[in-house]
Amino acid sequence: MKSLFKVWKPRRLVAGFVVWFFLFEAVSALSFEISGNYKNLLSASKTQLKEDYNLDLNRLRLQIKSQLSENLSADLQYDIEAYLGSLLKTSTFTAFKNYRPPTKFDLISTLLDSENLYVRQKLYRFYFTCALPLGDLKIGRQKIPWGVGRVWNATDPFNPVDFVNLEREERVGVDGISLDIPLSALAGLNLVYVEGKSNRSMGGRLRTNIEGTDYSVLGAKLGSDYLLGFDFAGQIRGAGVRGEFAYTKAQAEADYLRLVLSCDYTFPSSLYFLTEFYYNGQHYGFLGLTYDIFSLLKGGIYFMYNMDDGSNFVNPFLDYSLSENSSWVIGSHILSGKTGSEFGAFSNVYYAQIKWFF
Amino acid sequence: MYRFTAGALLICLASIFCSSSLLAELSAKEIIKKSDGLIRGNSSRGSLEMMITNPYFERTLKMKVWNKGRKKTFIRITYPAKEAGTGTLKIGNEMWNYLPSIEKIIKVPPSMMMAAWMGSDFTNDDIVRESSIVEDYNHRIVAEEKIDNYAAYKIEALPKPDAPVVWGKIYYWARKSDAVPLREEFYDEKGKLIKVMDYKEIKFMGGRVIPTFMTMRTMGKENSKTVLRIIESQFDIPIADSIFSLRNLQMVK
Repeated sequence: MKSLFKVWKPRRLVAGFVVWFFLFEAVSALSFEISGNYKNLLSASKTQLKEDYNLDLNRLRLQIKSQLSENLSADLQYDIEAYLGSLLKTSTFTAFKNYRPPTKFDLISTLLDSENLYVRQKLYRFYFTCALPLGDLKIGRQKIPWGVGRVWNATDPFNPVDFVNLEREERVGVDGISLDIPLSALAGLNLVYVEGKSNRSMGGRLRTNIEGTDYSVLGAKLGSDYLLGFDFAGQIRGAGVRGEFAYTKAQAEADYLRLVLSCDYTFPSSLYFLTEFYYNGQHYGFLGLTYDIFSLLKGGIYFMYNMDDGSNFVNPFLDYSLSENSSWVIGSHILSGKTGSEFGAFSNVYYAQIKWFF
Repeated sequence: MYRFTAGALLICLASIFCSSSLLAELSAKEIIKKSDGLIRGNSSRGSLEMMITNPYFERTLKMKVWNKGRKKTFIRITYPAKEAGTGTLKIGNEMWNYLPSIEKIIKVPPSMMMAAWMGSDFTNDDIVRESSIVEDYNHRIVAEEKIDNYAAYKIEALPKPDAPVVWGKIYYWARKSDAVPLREEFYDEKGKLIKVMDYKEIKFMGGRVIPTFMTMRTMGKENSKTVLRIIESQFDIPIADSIFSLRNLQMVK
């Protein structure tokens, strides 16, 4: 086993403490709010080389909001993540450690790297918001909230939903500038400029509300590709209906069309029903049901189906509210399909998660 | 402090005196209108605490609420941490939620309006309903009863044909002296009692006498209730239209 001096990254650790020191110094002089959450996600599965593994992710997320002046605020979400388990000894985890997001800045650094424990820190969000007479200007690592689909997004090229991800609420975000210009209470124009590692993107999304339905049209230049899109969110006889259409004029490949159609309904018994269809060259279907078994316990099942290769993804889960500020979730991702199919290539995942907010 | 208390007391007494002499002359609809106006105002801004109790758990939610007429409502949850930042915007009969966990605004479909709001005995519709017990119902005084030792008018409210309401009948008790609401009973279209709301702790707040402690009970759910306590409230004040916007909904301060 390596000595601690070898596995710890002392300079990064010192840098981390310096960041913390200045962070506390800065926030102590300002009006700020501190909050956050701690998550423990334990999972077991097999790698693509069919090695059994388990992984225990511990993430402490600190969120600091500070009103720097009347019109300027700062938002920071800082993560410390500790990984334990047998996955650390596999090449899959080495690939995970070496992976760098497509954002301009990594904002991730390793603090400790040993056979049995891997610790890293990252800035999940870090942006300034300036309230201008024209609108809100946001600069930094942020999420661009485009798209209306619950399972897939065709019109969100920046942070689309990744529904088969164990942490589907986590989005890397983008490094860029976003200007949100309100045109009325329910209408506005969002202009974005995003700097990636290998390319830059810019675009605009105009949203409005007509007769009870939200509509958006958007256009974006994504590297050398062009995207034109349209989405809506409305209702038909009590049910929520949504749609996204996106046409991409691609430089390196043939132009392509993507489409999302979505519908959900909540019954008085608390039974929630969601169905979604996605086309991106292949056809996908989704069905989701959730139900409040009793006040604190929610159960649900999600089913995703690739209509072209017949592979599918099933996610049954139970979500128990432990206290006002904590929840416990258990579930599994059951994937099946022929060899070479989209979901058939992966092994089932079993997981349990505790999340505590403060 | 003394001046404020004395002034408040004078206003209360004057209000009660004038009201009691006038209330007897009012029709059932006018009593309901006066009573409803007391707790709503033309506009309002306040802080509320919601305590949800059932056999399995107790939860407390704290929130800030802005209202403008019946058309516009804005709610921001401030406690507990798990829900803090969650926002609700209602304009007309449309509703949007901002969910901090996904940093996104979600349009709430109408079917969700009858779902429990944040796990409470209140539905989304109860929280932001546009339907008006004054305009959407026909009223008549059916009895004079005592509620919590206060003499009260018992008023029956039946929905007008085609009114966009969810209840088949409402019984409403208003204090005879000043129309302060004391109790509401909500019945479905088959005449079955579904929910009961009790109004307590009548105080001078925000320039008027209002109940500050409301308990909603759902029939058939024994030992369950949701209590709504008004911590602070201001009525008939100017509120900027920008509060009721998608821009404000996603700006968690």
